[in-house]
Amino acid sequence: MSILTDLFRIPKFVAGLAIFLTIVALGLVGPLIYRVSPTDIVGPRYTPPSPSHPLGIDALGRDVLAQLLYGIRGSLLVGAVAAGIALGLSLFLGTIAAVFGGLVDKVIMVISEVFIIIPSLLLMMVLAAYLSPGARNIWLVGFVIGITSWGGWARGFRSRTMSILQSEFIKMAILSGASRVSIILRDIVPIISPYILASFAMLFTSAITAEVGLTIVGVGMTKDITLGLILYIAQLYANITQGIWWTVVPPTLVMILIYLSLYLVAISLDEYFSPKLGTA
Amino acid sequence: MPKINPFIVFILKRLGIMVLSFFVASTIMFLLPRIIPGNPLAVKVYQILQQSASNPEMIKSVEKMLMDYFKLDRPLYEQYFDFLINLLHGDLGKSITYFPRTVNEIVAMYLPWTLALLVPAIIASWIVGNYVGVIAAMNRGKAVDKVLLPLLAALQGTPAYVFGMYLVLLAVATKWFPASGAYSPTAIPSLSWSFIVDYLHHYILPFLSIFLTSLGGWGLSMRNIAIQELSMDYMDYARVIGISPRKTQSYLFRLSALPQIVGLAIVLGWSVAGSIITEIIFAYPGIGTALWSAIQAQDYMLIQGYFVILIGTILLANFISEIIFAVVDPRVRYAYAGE
Repeated sequence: MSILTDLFRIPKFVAGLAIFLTIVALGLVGPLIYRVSPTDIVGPRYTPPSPSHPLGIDALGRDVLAQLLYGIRGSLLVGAVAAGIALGLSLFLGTIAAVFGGLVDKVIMVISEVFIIIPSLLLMMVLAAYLSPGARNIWLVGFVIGITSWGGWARGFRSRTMSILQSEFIKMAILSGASRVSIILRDIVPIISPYILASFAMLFTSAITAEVGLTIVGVGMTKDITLGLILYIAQLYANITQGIWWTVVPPTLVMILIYLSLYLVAISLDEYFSPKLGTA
Repeated sequence: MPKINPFIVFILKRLGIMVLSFFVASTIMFLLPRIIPGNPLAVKVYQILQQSASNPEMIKSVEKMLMDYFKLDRPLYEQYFDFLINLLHGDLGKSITYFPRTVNEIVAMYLPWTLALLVPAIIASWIVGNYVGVIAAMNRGKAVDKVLLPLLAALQGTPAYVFGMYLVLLAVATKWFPASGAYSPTAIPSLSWSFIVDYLHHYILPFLSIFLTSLGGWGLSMRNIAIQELSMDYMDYARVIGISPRKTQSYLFRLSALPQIVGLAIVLGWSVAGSIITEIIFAYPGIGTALWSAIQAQDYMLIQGYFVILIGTILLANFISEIIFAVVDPRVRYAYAGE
């Protein structure tokens, strides 16, 4: 496992991973330790942070820390669902396009181009605007984000696959009678796996940001607590213009930290495995 | 057979992709309300019917308009055909909440506010960002770069609306700037001196949040482009024949600005859609805030109208930017002209 020990020598990678794992731990374990229900009314609304309610109380009389911990959990789930779907679609379509070529390639490229040109945030809004508000839970919102944000990465996987297809060992594999599917699975996926990881990290963080955006606009999450829903409630009750910072700053800070940590992980993966491309 | 100019082939291909994208987007918009279980459009029409007890005259006409526009009782292919014809005529129907005003009128009411905010903010961030990017590239690895790089990355990573939220919190705490709206509640929009001062006072914070967050993206991409240009032979040549660093910097700026011009066209097209949330945070009376209230009121006519216009703008900006690229950069032009 020399690759892992090498990676752990890169400060950027370690810092990013540490911050990200801390946030994941907060979302997974936090609700088990801080046992306050995020939906119960615990006191008068807009009580500022105090020892009994470390992050204060929101517009509906609920504990903000409990909301935040469940919100992190919800947002991480949305990110995982959306990034899983988008990664699956882009990896499948990108490699298929490169390996099969011809008409398959042309059709996939045109579809992905359309998905790149039409902004995914708008597509998501159109999709979500017509979904019944009662049905918009983690799975549905994650699905909507996932199926609209794969276009750019499909192109990335295609071009990386194309450059590998030029290598001698692929010609050997073709000569020895390997099927195209087996070439994708056995030869290409292992080589581009760092890029796959990096793209998962970026899809994950952009999905979390997208959920927040969708929910603030009013077409996102309604059923499960996420960072977006906390901010939506804060915006709906005009907390920001009343200077009630404790419902606004914690979820946005977590959002920025998720982005920065995964960005660090993604760029250090990319720099480590393809040092020539790094410009930083 | 005469040989067609490859440049024209290129433009036709891009035009084809643009038309296809618009077609796909509008098909999605047509199909969604009709295929989603519990047809949200039919539910809306039903709600209006139920409310007709309170205001029979007005409701009857809204209902008639909706029925006329959507023709939900006709076969799907006929509805689709009519939908496309209406779109091509620029007929986006009438708003439900602002009935009997047309969607086009309402868009025309909000769009100038959005453009007044976005266009200056984006152009200013483009100019400053490019300048900062070139400086970072010229000093690559030195102290200036080491400060600028993480700063630009942090700005790029923060969504404009989050930045906006912090600015509003700051404004509320310090009372230096008004925290919401585009002008004071008592002011009446006009070209008077006092209104303009009032508007600018409200303008500063939303302007800053868009200006600063897009500065990060421009700075980083300019830095990358400039670093690539710096490694070219002609840059070595400039150094060898003794051109001053100041002059080199200005050459570098002009060389690297080319791809950035393309980026500017794309971002300007994108901006209206991209600043929806920033507008909502500042309660700025533009397209974004209008879209938000349309979504809250479930005014499907307005929602659909905004989407058509936003997607149309973006597609057009993309197309224009590609043409600009081919026209401005001789290398691209010669590549398509096929020598």
